[in-house]
Amino acid sequence: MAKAKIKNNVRKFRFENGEMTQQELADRTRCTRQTIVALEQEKYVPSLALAFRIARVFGVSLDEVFAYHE
Amino acid sequence: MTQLKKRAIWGLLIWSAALIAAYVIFFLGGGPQTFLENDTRADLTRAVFTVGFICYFLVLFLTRTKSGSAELMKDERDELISKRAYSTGFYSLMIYVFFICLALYAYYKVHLNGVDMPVGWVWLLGITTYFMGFVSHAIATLVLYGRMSGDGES
Repeated sequence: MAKAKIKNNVRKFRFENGEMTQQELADRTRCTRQTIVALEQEKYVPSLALAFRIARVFGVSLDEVFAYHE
Repeated sequence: MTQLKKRAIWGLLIWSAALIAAYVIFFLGGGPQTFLENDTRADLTRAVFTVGFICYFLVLFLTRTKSGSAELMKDERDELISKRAYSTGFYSLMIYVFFICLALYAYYKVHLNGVDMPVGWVWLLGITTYFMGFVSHAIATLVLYGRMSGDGES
């Protein structure tokens, strides 16, 4: 069975929201900057809670930020 | 660099040195046959334990979460890596113990036709298993950070 992949547009939304820095996004979503870096490079899949917090910061729905691919 | 990663790097350095020192003390002083008879080697082994723990607790103290600090030291990714590192490290340690025991059995029972195994080997297994526990956990942590970290992450 092919491994599912979660893709995201975090970097795109970050730049569209006043060129927010990774540290600012990390502070607002209660995670570390290193986690935001890993997330943007799709090396880490966030928990549902963190994914919702990220979407809420950008003021968009979850599936606008994250996409599920098989 | 996250607190967990710093502790893993320093832990790996400290406990690898302790592990190597334990092996050197065990083999250079006469091997398993004379390990229990030699007070110097026993004292050196105790010194390795003591120095190792002092250094490790110093690292834990220096990398502690400072009260009042606004910086987030550990998030969900760090906790996930920590949990996986504990289980990976544990299984690695079991494999280490298994292969040491198997090697000793093969050597004394099979190769030497059932010659009694010096009890000193049990001490080596016990001491090095203790250090190996820290080493395997640190390696697992760093490998997991490598896999779950972005490029350019400090």
